[in-house]
Amino acid sequence: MNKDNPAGAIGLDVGTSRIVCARPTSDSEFFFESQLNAFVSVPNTKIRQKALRNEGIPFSVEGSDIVVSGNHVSKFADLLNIETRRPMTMGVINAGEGESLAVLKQIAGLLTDGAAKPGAKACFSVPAPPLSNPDDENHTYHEASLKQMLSSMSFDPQPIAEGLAVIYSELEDSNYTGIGVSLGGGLCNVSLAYLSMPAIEFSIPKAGDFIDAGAAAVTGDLATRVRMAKEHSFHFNGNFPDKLHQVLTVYYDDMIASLLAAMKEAFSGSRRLPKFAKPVPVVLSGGTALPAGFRDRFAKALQAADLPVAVSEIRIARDPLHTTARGALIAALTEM
Amino acid sequence: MIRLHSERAIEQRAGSILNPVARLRYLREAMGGLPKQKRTARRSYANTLAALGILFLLFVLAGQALGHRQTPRPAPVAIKPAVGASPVSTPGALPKVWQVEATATHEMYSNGLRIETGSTVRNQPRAWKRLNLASNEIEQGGDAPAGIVYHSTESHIAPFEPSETARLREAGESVLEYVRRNRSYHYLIDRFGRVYRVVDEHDAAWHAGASIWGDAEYAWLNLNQSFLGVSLEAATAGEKADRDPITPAQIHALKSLTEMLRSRYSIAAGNCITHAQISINPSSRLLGNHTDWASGFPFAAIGLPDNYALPLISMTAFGFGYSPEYLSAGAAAWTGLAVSEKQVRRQAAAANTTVPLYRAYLNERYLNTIARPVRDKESIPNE
Repeated sequence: MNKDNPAGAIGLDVGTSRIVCARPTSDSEFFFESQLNAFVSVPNTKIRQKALRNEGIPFSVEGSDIVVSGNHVSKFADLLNIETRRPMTMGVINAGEGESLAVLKQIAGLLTDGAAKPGAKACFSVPAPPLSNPDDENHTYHEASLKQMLSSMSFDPQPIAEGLAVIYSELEDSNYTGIGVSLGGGLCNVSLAYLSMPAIEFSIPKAGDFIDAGAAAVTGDLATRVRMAKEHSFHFNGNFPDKLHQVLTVYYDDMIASLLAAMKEAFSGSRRLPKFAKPVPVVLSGGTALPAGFRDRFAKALQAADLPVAVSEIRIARDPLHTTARGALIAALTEM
Repeated sequence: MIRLHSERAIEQRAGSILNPVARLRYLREAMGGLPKQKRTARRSYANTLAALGILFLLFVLAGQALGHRQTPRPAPVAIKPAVGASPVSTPGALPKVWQVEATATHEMYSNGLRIETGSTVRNQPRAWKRLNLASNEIEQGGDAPAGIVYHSTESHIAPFEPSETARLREAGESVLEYVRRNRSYHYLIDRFGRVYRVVDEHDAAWHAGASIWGDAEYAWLNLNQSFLGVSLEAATAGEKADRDPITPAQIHALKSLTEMLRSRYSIAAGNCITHAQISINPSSRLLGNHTDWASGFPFAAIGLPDNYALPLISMTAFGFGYSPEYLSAGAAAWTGLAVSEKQVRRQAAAANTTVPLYRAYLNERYLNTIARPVRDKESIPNE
């Protein structure tokens, strides 16, 4: 695939777990690259710098520390037996990490280096405010910080709500009318749009990390092991090979119930709810939607939830891990 | 959000765009999508309040419709000719045609035009209304017509062949008698290219119905009074439609007649348009109450520019929409329609409101300052 970017636009999915960059190619395809949204830092020494260079691991020096970020973090952390750190938590910049913005810029640089010319349109995903706190200032700070960061990297940045990016990626057949749900690590984001116009957007803080942490607390396992089991072997079919799978099912059902309750509350209480002439589709995306059987589990719960919006179909996005970045790129391309 | 018939048309047009990026771009533009996503609840509430404020203002203004003291309204964006509009107020390259002969039954002109005048009837004198776009005042007058509206009779049509001559003549005479009795047009051109003056040019004819057309200076209202009606004996739509609806003789005659009328009254090229472009339904606020010549009118063949490219003031000044049927009748191909939609979006953005709300404001403007009951056919004076 030719990775040239003739259109000069990129889409960025800035997620708690991963950052994904999408760009169009001269083959009229979309090309995706992702980096782990994590970092490690160790005291700076010349020997360590030399070792990293020999391994081909990009790093930066921040004060007296060496900072390694992105996909190399797992290997480096294992090598040095140190904990990884996260520049984002619950979908927004981690205020408890002083290097958050510097690390995000480093990771974004790994993804966007050479991806587009200066001044290119960069549409980046942002979470919607929590339903319980529409004026959450953390979200305002998060969006402004990312915008400033991308501007300093010579992009022309534009935010897009995660749920809306899902709609732009998946709902062309319904003229971008419907409900997009992004089930990520830190948050579940929901957007309801009518003919591409967002009408209702919100997020809830129960997503993949909530499931991992809850299941780990019950079983006594490490959260990382729980995540591995969830991503590789978990499925909704009623057969529980071990206690971990049973507990994962419980926490998944809790997340689904919370999500649908939030949707019911948001749609019922809003005067912005459009009067749809016909039922609308729902698209689910994100890593937390990957387990086999999740769609059916969600559909069954939605049927029982009696939402004030009639639903025509529920489906998983074509490429759930890249949907948000794809939708962000499509949004960027429409502004060119 | 006020749901208008135009949103259904937007949806239908979007469905015809295959490329998903292009489709999304069209929808975001058509729906008045902002470049920035509305992100925080604070901004969302502020915009909701602003929208409600505009809606409240509209209701207040509607309540003032019976002539009470005017409530200050948001200053509308000045209605400017859209990009691509031809300078229709400027006569441009007007033809020079003069009368060379006049008898009791016909007139001859310098460009070869012959007009049969033996069937001419009188009607009520011309008395037009127009909106001065600069002053926003309604002006009335009764002098020269401002333009020409082209129609088709949609009457019974016989095949244009030598063996059908008798039927062709009979059909032409029949339609002439009908339009004469009903004062339907100023001019009729039959299948053989004969030009009949039906209603005297100083009088109104009942050809346009509820209608709007405009140029850079004026919005013309209910064009029976202000525009001349010229009809071609033709069937262009439905089961009666002919493959070649008009004959070469008709085109030739139409060209000569248009030249003469433009010369006589200094009619701008951009004020020579089809019935489909001007016809409105005031109740539904939709274009296309009549759709004759929604497509295929031979502008170029009769010496006019492609006036399908002209913007529609019914949309840009009065917020009229259109139905999918209108698009299917031929309007989908008009660049003037797309130009008009873009202008409405620009005006809405400049007024800091959404397109649907802005259209509602324009509709209200139409009702309060312009709408009058469509005048039915007056009692026809005895001949």
